[in-house]
Amino acid sequence: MATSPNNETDPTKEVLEQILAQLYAEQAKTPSITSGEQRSCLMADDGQFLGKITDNKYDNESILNRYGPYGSQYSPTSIFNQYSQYGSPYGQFSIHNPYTSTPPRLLVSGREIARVTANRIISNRMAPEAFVYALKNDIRGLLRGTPVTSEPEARQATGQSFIQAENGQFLGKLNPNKFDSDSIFNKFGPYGSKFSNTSIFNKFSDYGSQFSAFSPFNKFTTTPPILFLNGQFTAHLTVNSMLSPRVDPDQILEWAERNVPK
Amino acid sequence: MTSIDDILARIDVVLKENKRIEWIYIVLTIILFCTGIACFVLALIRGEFAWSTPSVITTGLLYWPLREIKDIRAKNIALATAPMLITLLPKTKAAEEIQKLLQSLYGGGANGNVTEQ
Repeated sequence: MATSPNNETDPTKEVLEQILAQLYAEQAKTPSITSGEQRSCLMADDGQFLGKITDNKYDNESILNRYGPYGSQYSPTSIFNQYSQYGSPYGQFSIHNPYTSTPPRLLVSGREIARVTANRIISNRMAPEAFVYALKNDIRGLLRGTPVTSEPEARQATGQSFIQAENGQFLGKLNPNKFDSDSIFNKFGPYGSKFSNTSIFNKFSDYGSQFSAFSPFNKFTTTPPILFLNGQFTAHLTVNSMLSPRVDPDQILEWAERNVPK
Repeated sequence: MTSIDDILARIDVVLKENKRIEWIYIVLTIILFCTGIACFVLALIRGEFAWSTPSVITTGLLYWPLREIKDIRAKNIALATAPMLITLLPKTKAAEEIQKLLQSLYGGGANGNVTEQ
């Protein structure tokens, strides 16, 4: 099982991670289903319990218990394990897979309130960033079924660097990693491709054309996209020289490489 | 998934391998140290202090093998402790302690990977 947070092949680390994965897998087999609070939880589409939503971080079944089977980055049943089928960007049941049609369900008091997924075409969706932010900062709101945070707020609160259109549309991360599917550097991703509707590089989209009010390439717009660096508003992304501070969209990739840590 | 017993058996293999690597480092460290000392003694005997330069360099180079030896020993302690933790502690506590061991050896830790990607 690949649970390693990096690609080192240290046999000591490998053995310890295998032990952990096995211990967590054995614990995950027997979640208690009796208490009322238990019904506020995350459930994978294959029926796997993925942790209780509770403000008690010491509860072994809590999704926030980083030493528990549902919160540890080494557990095969944790959404925080980047190599598990529930946390990997490629896992069929993962919250981070932008293409999955079977993401986990968020249940509050036994009622499904959202699907936690990076797949934007799923209806009734909650973004993973918003979910994790709510878990860590607004668990009461989450347990009421009304987390106060929106996806852009969660991205800002977690210190991400990204572009956002004036109408709230997310236009990609500034992370200079061409393999990150959410990055504008990924030429095959939804925010870096010349053919995507949500890419500033698509000359025919609302966010890339010369005539759209939300486009950075419209010389006369007063509503261009906004750049957030480490969660903070940094500049407008526009060719409109009347707006300040601004970053030229033709140089956004170079700018991001200089300013955003990899 | 392999069973705990299989994994525990593998611990012995890894421990043996670590021990072998540790010995290689110890021998290389001794060679490096002796070379440095020899150069230093030569410098004193001949009165040519240019000969002390290699000893300064080799002493500086000792930092890496000594650090490696220290790391390998820490890993061996962790490997030797893991089976005890599994047998003596409840599984939940054993998992917690092994995860702490991993984090102290390799760093990292909080479950905020999601937001850090």
